[in-house]
Amino acid sequence: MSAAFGLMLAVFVGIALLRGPIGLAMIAGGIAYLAVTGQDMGLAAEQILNSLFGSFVLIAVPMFIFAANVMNAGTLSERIYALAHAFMGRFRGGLAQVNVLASVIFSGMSGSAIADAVGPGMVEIEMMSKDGRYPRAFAVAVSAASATIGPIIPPSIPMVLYALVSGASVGALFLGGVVPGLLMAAAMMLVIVWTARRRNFPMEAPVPWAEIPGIFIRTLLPLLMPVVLLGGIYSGVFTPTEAAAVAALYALVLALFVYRALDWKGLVSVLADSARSTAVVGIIICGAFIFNYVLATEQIPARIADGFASLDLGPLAFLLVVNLLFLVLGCLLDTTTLLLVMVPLLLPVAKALGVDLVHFGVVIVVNMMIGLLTPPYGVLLFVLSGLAGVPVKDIVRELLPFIAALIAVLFLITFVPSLVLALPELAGYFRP
Amino acid sequence: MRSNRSTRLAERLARWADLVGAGIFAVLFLSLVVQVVRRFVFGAPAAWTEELAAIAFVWVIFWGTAFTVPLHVHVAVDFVVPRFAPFARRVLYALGLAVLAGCFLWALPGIADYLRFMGRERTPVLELPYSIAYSVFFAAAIMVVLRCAAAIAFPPDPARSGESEKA
Repeated sequence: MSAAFGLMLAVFVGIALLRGPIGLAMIAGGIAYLAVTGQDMGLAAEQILNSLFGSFVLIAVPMFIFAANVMNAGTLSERIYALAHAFMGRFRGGLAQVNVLASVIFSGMSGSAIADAVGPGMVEIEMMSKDGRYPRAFAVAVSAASATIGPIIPPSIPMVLYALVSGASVGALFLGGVVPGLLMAAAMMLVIVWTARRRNFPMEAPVPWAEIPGIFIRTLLPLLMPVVLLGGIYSGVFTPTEAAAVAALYALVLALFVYRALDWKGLVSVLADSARSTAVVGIIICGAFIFNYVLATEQIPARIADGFASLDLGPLAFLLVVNLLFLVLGCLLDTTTLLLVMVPLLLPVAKALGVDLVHFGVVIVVNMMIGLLTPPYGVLLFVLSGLAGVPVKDIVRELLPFIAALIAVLFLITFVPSLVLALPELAGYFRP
Repeated sequence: MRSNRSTRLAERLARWADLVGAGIFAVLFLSLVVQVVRRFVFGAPAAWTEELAAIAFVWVIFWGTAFTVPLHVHVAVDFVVPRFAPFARRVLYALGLAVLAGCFLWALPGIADYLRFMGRERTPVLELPYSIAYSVFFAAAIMVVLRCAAAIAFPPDPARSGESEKA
């Protein structure tokens, strides 16, 4: 490791710890590196701009952000809630189960955990805490935990980013997330059954079976969206980027013309919101481009690979070490930074050990979703604590059993790769 | 403290910047929609759609960084600085931003040179000089320096930390 590389890290870590923007801090670190090594400063611009210009798959990210914002501005969250309620409300702790089921349905349309939390998640918090039926902190905890399913069941923004750095197929990654996503839902539902019995949570009046077809029809059009999206990608009709745009168009047509829940003024504000969110994520991606350029120049990934090789770990032990490492890092850093900076360092090791890159990607993304729930840096905690007005401390106490359940699922899919790979293989994916 | 009039002007500029950002995002979205429609409805894919989308993507990111996303809204590490007393907090925050601004300021001439150099090359399909396609990056670099200076002079409310919407 050269002194220049040390300076880059010092600038980045220094600015970041002092509450500077992480993405800009990475770019500043890269600039410091170029300056000290006597390279042309224009390289900073060149690396960032040419990489952005050449990564068409990345454009799926703003499209998924846009689709989620459109759906949240429309009445979609309420419709999905009604459907989930019709099925699950009748059981003990029913509204908490509704919360998880609605997240499963919504995650087939959105690729972002935050979108899931602020859309259906907030609707469910209000329903659960109405008349004090459930402790508000518990309601927030269920919404936060179930929102982590959003990027596991396809589509998924983090998996698009992983595909960018790893070269793994977006289609295979998306399919690989289906079973783990359903396992996460099942694990959380079991936690709710256990908690509901212990704390005697209420049941809801059952919705008569005769009314269910009507509720289903009201939700039918949004439910078709995953079919369009995934059908398009797997039949090879759309690239993932085009599929994301089509999904956004579909949501837009529903919100503007079918449900009339969005007017033109609302549309402009959704567009402006999406543009700002894209800039926030995009600047971290830019920082990662220049960071990874320096890492490659310094041959850091090769050194880390050598370091791991000298440890003489098998593939399973490697995945175990990576899981523990990312569970800790996930408490401190955000998903995009981890995915774009830490994961490329580990990819050469994974390849050398014969770990399947689709399996690795799904495991890593599930791991990072747990990171969204763990303090001190748990983005879902902050967002929901702010929106629902419940202190982070209270949410964390209610979250602990859910985090334990999610970690159990994480280790299960780590040790049984077929849980991830069976579906992609059915669709024609071959393990290399 | 800034006068009422300049605050009103700043608000109006911010609203316009937001509208432009929305417009660029609409271009990004529509060029992808046109791409899909051309291929499936008319069976004639257009080469320019992918390139326009890529240019719009670059513009969405750096227009936002320059003009619509305040520094404290970006993703940031939020568990160190808030532990200090208010005065120390302000000093530490300002110190980080000063280093950030210094790095960007240092790089500005190199970035300008690079963009001038790229004026000779044009994008493959639309034949737009890269210096224009990429010019928004320079604006973003300047605005990062100015935003840092402004945030050091008038620190944002430290209680409201930047939690942003993302994956």
